[in-house]
Amino acid sequence: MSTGEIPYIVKPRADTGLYNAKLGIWLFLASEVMLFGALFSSYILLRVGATDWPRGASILSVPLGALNTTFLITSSLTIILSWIALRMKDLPKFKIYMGVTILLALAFLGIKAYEYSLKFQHHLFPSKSTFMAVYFTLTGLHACHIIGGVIVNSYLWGPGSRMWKTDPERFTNRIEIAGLYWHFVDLVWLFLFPVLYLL
Amino acid sequence: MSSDAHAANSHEMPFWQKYIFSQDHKIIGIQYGITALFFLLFGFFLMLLMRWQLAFPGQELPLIGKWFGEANMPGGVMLPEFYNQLGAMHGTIMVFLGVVPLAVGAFGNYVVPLQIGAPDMAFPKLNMASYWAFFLGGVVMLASFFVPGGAANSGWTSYPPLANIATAGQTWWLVGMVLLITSSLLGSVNTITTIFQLRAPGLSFFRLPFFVWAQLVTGFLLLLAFPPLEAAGVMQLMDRIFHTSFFMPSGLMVSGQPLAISGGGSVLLWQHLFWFLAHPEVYVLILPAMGIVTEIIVNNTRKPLNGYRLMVYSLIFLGFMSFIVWAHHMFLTGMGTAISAFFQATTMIISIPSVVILSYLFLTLWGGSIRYNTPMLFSLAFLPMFGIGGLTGLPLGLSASDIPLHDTYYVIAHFHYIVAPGTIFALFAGIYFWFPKATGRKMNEFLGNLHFWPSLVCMNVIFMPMFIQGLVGVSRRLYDGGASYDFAQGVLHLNKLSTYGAWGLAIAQIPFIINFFGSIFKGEKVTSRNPWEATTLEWEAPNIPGHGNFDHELKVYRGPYEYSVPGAAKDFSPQASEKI
Amino acid sequence: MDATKVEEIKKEIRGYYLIFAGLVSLSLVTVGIYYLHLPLGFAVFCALLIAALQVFLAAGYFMHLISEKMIILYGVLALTACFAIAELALPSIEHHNPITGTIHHQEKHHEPVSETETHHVP
Repeated sequence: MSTGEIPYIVKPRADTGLYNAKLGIWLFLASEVMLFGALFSSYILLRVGATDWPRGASILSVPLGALNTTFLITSSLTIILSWIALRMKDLPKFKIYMGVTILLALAFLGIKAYEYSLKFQHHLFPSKSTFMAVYFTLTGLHACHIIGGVIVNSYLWGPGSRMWKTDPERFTNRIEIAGLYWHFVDLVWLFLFPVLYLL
Repeated sequence: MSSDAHAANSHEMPFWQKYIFSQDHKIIGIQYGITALFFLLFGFFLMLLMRWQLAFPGQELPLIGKWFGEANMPGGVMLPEFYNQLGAMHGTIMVFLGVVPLAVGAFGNYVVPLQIGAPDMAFPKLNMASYWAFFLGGVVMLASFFVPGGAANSGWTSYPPLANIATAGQTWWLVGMVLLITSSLLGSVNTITTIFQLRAPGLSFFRLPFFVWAQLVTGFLLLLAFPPLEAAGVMQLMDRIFHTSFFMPSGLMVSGQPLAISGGGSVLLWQHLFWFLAHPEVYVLILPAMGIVTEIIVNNTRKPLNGYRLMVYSLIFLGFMSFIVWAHHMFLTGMGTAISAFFQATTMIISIPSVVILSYLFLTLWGGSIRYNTPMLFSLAFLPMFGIGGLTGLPLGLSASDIPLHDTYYVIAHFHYIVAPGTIFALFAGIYFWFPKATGRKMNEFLGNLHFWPSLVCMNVIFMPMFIQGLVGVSRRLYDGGASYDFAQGVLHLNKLSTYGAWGLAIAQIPFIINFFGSIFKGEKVTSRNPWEATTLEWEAPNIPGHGNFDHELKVYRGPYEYSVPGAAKDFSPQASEKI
Repeated sequence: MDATKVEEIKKEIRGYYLIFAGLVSLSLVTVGIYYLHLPLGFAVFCALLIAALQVFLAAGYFMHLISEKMIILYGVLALTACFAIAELALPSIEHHNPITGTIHHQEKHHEPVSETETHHVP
């Protein structure tokens, strides 16, 4: 294996039990935990040091946040179902489930954009207070991650799905990796929502 | 199959795909190396400018002074604003554009796959993306010198509130840092995955060369420590562009006017996030160097490495501890005794693994048949130089003694001893050592000595006096080198001494530059693929390895440092040979 | 595909629907708890507990960590957890442990508006 092709792109290595991309994405997710952890740490420090801090629900809309939460949790389910469809060799079903995942993500972004516009209309900009600064930065960075996920998922739904014909196992692995990333983004939101909206 | 990687690297590739947008770890390693060496030189020039001002404050810099323009050096005399830019960018460029890309991007990329018997890194496209993100980050950093107000000028540490209200260059610095952090993150994912997944058959973890272990731990440091700085950078960008108050406390006044911001922020928040990265970062600076030095010392003593296992455990322990010592950079922020005691304790504990590693390297020399070639000279010098740097860190790690020493020239001397005659010497050693593998030729030994001896002397001439200045109390980042302070008058002449040393160091690099480029074309050709008679796997590959690296399947039969094995035919037993 | 494989996958799918239901329910519970208007400290504790459960379900089953054999994965995650906790906790602990016995002995909580008035430049 020292010559020629890079091994373990598709088949897992025996002693680690992983194929390369799976280890790679988990390492990346570990770094993302540290990134969002730093932002949560900042939130904690700023709130603990503040003379007053508003309850999230007095400024943000809990129903909209809850709706967004259900969108993301559902999209987590559908992306897993799209991966299972590929394992059952069913490309059309994969496209349906992945398509729904992307649509739910876009719906999430739509609601987020609407929430932001509501805030801007009331002159509640990030510069208004540290709460608004934290809200916009945390949800903004999270939204960037959603956008990134949408771009990758759309690529895999569209032009990327050509790999199904030439290397179906590798394509299935790619969907697994995309799913792992997507679940992580969902998990971040499951922390963001109660922290920002409910506490 | 992985058609693109294979076809892309076969013989019909256009020049731009083979050499510019290459996905081959060796080309990428060399790209990192050349770019990083350029940035090291650039950072060196920034320092030379600073040293002129420190030795001859307020005097016109002859000949070239006027080139820097009226905004920076009117009449050839340096303005304090420009001095501050030089200081901030010297640190930033040396650390993030010079040393780390060379130690991790160049040596890590080039050597690690070869030393584990792999055909390439695990993710070649990601590797290429890492290099170009680094390159772009470097362009942004260089470009920042030309924006109104010049480059970042709030120290490489960019503390708010100063950095928040600083000139436009600071925003460029933040954008550059985001690019560089991205490059490092992608690179570390690649390195760690490669080491776990692509080891040759028979290469278990405790048969890995110490260099690979060092790169593995370094990868984890980069992976987990950089993101908080990325978060902090985003928040400082928010503060500067959208006028948030993450780091701006209430009631701030600038030039007598209250700032129109919400306030409520915390300057200490930046310091926590910055140092959470920056402390592991200094271990990123030293670990690859220890790895390189270990390889070279073992090879040139013809003995096994003493204490290999303990050294590996020390490395892992060091990596872990490096995450929980960061606030020793913040002892003077009004810290209470409990938290201060915690960080002092962890800081003292973290010195132990370094001492273990250094001690075993010294012990390995005992009873060895030492060969004094150029890589060995640099590696041997590393040991006492790093020793001085490390020992002088101890008073800084204890809060009581840190109080008079914090932010003085003592600190500058401490860390420069570790990075300059420490890490950079190790990196030079690595260049001389692996040059034959990359080019098929040896670098010239005479020029190597001409590079080494004056460099060693000058490094000490530059930095040893700084300990004295720091102990007297001369602060860092003073553009006049302390001239306006009564208590500093007695040590001001040392500024001149350091400057003369810097000029000497500059001249001493000329033989290296000539040697490096000259030997690529005219160096003595090596006749074997293993000219140093080493045991590790990279020497099994042909010189200037082709795509896929090796021309035969590898299997590993023994540990990495089997030298002078009793009963063996030669004084070294390569890892991949079946026979002893 | 043979029948047993299809059966196994059908079971897997049912499992995922269950986890989905679990996640949604826990989110509803979080919102419900909010409406109880508990004191902040207790609310934080509940929110974190529920979020931890959600992490366990999502990471364990959706991200199938439970079935990975890999000590490496667990190792990486455990390490990350350690460092994340240090990063989350230590700055706040530091905030609550200011220096005493100086003229700046006011609690760091009660922020700078008054401090800038008493602060003098040496």
